[in-house]
Amino acid sequence: MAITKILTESINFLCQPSILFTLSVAVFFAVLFLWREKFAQTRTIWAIEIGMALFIALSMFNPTFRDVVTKPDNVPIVGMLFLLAFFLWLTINKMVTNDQLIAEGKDVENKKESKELVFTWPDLVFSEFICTIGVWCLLVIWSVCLKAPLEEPANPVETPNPSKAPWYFLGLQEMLVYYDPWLAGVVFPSLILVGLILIPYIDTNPKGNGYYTFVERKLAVTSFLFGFLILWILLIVLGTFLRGPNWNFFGPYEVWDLHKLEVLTNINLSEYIFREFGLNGGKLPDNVFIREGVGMILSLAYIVAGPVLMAKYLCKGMLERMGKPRFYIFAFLMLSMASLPLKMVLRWLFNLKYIVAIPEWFFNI
Amino acid sequence: MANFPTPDDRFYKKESLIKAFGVLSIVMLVSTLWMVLDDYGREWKGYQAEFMALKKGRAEKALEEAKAQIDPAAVQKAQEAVAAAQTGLKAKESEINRVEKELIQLRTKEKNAVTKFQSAKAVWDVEKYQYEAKWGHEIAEGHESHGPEAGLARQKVFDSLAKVMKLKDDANHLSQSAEDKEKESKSLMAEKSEAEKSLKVLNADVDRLVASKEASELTLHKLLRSAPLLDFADSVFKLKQIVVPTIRDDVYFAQLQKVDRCTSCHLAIDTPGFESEPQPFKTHPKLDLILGSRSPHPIDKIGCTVCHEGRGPSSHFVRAAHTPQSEEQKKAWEKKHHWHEMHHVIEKMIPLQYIEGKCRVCHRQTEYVPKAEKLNSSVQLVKAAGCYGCHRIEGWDHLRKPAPSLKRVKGKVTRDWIVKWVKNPQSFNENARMPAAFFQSNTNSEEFKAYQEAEAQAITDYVLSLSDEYRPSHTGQLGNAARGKEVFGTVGCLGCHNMDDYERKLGRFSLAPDLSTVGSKVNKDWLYSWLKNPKHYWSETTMPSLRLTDSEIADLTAYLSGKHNAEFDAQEAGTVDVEMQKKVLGLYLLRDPKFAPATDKRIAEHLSALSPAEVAEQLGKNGVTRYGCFGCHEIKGFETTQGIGTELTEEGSKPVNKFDFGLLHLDHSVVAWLDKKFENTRSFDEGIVKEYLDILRMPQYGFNKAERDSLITFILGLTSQKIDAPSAKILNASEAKIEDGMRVIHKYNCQGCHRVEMLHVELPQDHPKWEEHEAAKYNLEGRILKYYEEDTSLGPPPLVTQGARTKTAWTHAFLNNPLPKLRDKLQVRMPSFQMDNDEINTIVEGWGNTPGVEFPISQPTRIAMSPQRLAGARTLINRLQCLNCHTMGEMLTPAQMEGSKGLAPDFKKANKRLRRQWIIDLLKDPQKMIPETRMPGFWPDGQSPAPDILGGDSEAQLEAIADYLLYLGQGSVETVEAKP
Repeated sequence: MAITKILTESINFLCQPSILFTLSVAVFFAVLFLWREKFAQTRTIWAIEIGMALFIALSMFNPTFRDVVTKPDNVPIVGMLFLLAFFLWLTINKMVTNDQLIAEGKDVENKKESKELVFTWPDLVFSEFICTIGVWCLLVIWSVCLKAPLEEPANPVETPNPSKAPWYFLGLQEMLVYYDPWLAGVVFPSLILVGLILIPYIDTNPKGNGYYTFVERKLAVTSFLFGFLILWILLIVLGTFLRGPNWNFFGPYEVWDLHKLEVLTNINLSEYIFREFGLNGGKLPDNVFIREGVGMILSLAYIVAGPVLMAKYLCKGMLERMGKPRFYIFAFLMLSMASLPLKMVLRWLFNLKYIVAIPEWFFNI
Repeated sequence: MANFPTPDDRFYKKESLIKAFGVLSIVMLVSTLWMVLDDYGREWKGYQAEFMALKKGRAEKALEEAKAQIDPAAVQKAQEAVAAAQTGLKAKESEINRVEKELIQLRTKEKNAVTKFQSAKAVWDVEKYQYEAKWGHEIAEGHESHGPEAGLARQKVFDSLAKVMKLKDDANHLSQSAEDKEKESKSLMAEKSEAEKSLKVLNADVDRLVASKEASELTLHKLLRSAPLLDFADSVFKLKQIVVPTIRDDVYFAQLQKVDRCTSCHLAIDTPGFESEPQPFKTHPKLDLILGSRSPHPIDKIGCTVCHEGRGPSSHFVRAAHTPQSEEQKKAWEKKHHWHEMHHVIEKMIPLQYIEGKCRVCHRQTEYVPKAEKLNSSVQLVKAAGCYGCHRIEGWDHLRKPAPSLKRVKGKVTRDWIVKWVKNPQSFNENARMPAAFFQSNTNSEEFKAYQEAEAQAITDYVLSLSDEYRPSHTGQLGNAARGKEVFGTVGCLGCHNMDDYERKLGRFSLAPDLSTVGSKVNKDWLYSWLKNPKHYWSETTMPSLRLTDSEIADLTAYLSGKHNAEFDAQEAGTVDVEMQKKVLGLYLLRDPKFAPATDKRIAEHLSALSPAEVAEQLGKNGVTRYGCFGCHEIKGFETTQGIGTELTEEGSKPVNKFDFGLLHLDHSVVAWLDKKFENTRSFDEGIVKEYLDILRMPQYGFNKAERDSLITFILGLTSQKIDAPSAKILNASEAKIEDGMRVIHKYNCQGCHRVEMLHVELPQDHPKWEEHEAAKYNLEGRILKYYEEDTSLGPPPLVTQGARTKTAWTHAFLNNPLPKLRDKLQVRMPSFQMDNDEINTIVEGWGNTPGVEFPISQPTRIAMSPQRLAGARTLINRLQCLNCHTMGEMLTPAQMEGSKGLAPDFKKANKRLRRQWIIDLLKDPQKMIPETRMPGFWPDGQSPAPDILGGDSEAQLEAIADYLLYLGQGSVETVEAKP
């Protein structure tokens, strides 16, 4: 059917990493800043969940989609997306409600409840017990219906293609497309962990303790949700459903062709500078610092001048409020977080491979 | 419990919580029960239950039959006897009771006495220990015995021992009395027990079947034993497995012993009697050969997966990787078993039609595997098609190159003939074994066709340039073609060669070429010289000399040179286009490392400096190297170059994702790939863009379906399984010698005329494929016998018992020079193979190692016979009319060869030729020694046909005849005194 073809081709097109990412970022900011109230309505979440279910149900007619989504490894991810949508909505709903209450000058929701005594029975034990039974039923039925797949003993001469990490690492595996393994596999995960640990020490905003709010914690909520939804969940979705053999991009309805070839010649900044402008006779110099000088300067500037510029123009007043150490750590973490989408955009726009490429030292940015 | 207050600001309502709890609890119960059932309800348990029902049904049926067999009158009588005995007992009731009572008393006394003895013994043991502890040590160490004290103590111990022994004696006496009393009781009851025993014997079968029926019955008690959680103790349903420690599975990081759980469902696989049951309860076919307890492959020594592959440890139909044999079966399985392919299993089960190939996994050291007809015919096909020439196969390295040598081809055929042949061998003769390397499905573009023409021309010129000169040894004489045709059909050419005048019966892939169009190939002189002495042209040929007379050769030459293929003769040989050849040579040079970095300019320079002959030479050399002609043909300079094909030694174990399916949508299996490859070797290039020098180059054979299946059988047997002794068949020293002999026999295609190994397996007459199988009787051995359908004794005789039959020296001499003729009437001639002495010795030694045969026989047989035995033998020979077929030293004229006269060997030759025991065995059972012989058997089941001769003793008669035959040939008359 022609209409099906048009739909599938356009969805395949929209799911390309560059387009999907850009659209997602746009929608993210729009929802948070422009459409918060509309999004918080109950009918929104119904619409979203039913919409997702319909989308999956209709797409099941496509064999490729079916194979990928019903793979026992991927079924939990699908379930997680439904749950994620709900909890995101719930959060925003709570935020909007509280913000309205704050605007009206009243106390926030459940403020009283958070201070009063609660009975163990039924508030703790009975409801927990019911949840336990529910989880039992879910797990038993799940394990009977979707059995763990047992493959043959690992064959050292045959690597599975694609070779995917567990779902919780797929975000990092996707990052590997844009970053050198040292950065994507070691530095950034460490920064994520360290950053998360440091949040209580950096966050000086006294508001929002024990209740949801957006207007009182705009920066915290936005930056965390950006990091979680865009830089983590979206990349996981990309890695689970939209990456096929040889880590090529395959739209949800695109057959996983082992032999698909795409032009992916990316160039380093240093190569671009020397070859394009004919410096040094078009040949890359041997000296690492000369070769990567521009890149190094840019990177250093980003890290060094970045916080300074941030303090002056973007985060007015924060430097004074937080104090130098806190602010500079905060700025460093934010800049590192922003560097990922920044690099991705540079890759998509300019086919940029590495800003600083020092393969001799196994160090590339 | 339900009395909890619900404050207003909670999200839940009490009722909803309780409802949720109730619903979820029920769901939990149901889902847990479902989980238990899902876990315990295994497919194999169902099959075991079904099998029990099957056995019960059989037992019931057998029970009915057994009951019917029982004679009610006999049972009645036996029951009456029991009743009578019972009444008899009643009369002796008081005595029996008395005896019983006494027996009980005696037994009680015995028990008490034994207990008393045992306690006394225990006490004495302590006494003994105390003595030894007190005195024993000192005495042992040689100190003074401390005078009378020690002696007294010692005496005391021995006295106590005597008392204890007395108690034992008492106990033994009582035992004896009890035994006697018991015997008495038994004898009183004897009558009744006898009667009961007879009744039991009558009912024995019925009782047994009732027991067996009950054993197969699934009672409630048995079901409970097998219930979930309770089945840890003694479930009726058990997983059955066969562990074979000597055969290992390679799982990359370990060698695991095989664990085959197939018998959990295939419960009657090694039990005879279930041949007509549906799977999985069917008995394995050929149980006496495979899996039977007395077969060479008992099930506990080999398991199942060593042949069938698949996942042995699995107990589930789909997950064990059963493979359907056909599309229909696949659909049926998908419906019945929800069958799907197990993509991640590398070694899926082999479809049953190819299973014989796996015999090779253990039987690696012999060229043929006994009783494996499909495998043996695939081995013959691979030999004749010459696969091993390009594709190395381990264990096939001893074979000569499959195609004729081209070292002197200049003297055999014309240039035009070679070009036309190379471009399309089948245009010369549709039965030509040479496959077509050019103009196939992946060279269909105009450009490629031009390249192919250029290459074919260049290769021809190159091969001719490498060829040595050859001049035939004789010039062809004039002959009569009609007589030649007759000679061709009678003298034995048909054992190896096909000829259209004689209805090609040997199949396309025979070891010698089809001669139906040979006149278009070679000239008369060459033919004449070849027929006179094949080794003059090619020293390694296996074509023998048939000791043809000059006039026979002339006639044959006339006949064969008249066999033309007019279409082929009329074909254009094509012209040499030097520019095109230069272009193709340029393609090769672009890839030549000597020309790197290759630019068009450089290559053009090089090419412009070449003469046409040099272009042809260089292009020809590249072409020969690329197409691998030297894999099959001996070419000067390429004698030891390795063939261009993939090594096939472990092809059967290659994972399917290592096969290149190109863009074709085939079933993703090795079988489908091989089938397509054999159907059209270039098919995987379809739709793919490739440069000329990268296209697939395996030539096209045009195998039909049967040939493809045969080749797939062969290849699936080439696995990487490493099975050694004791599981694999490792030849001992004498078996190895037999195999060496057989290899020479295979080399010279003796089996084109003779049956040597009985490769044909007889099927039972009621087998559905009997007719088809009988028609193919001579496919593997004795092929020439297809031309002697009315009477196979006019053809070459079977050699199946040759080791036990002929004497070593005679065999040696015969193989060297098979004259004089053994059977006068036969027109087919045993050829002179001109084997060297080593080869003849190998054959003779091989036969000599037949089990039970004395090798070598060195002493000549001198027979001495008593006059009585001599007379008896003579009378027997006359009575049995042996001379109707056999001769006694005379040469027969054609007029004398009436009926069977002249078909049987001369008696006087027996002394030098035959072994004594074999003669006796032949007389006892001629069909066994010489299958399908006309020789009648006169001693059926050892019964003598002449009770008046030599006392009617069969053994004596046979020995007398044997001695007499040997005596006839020794040239002197010698008698001795009568011997018993």
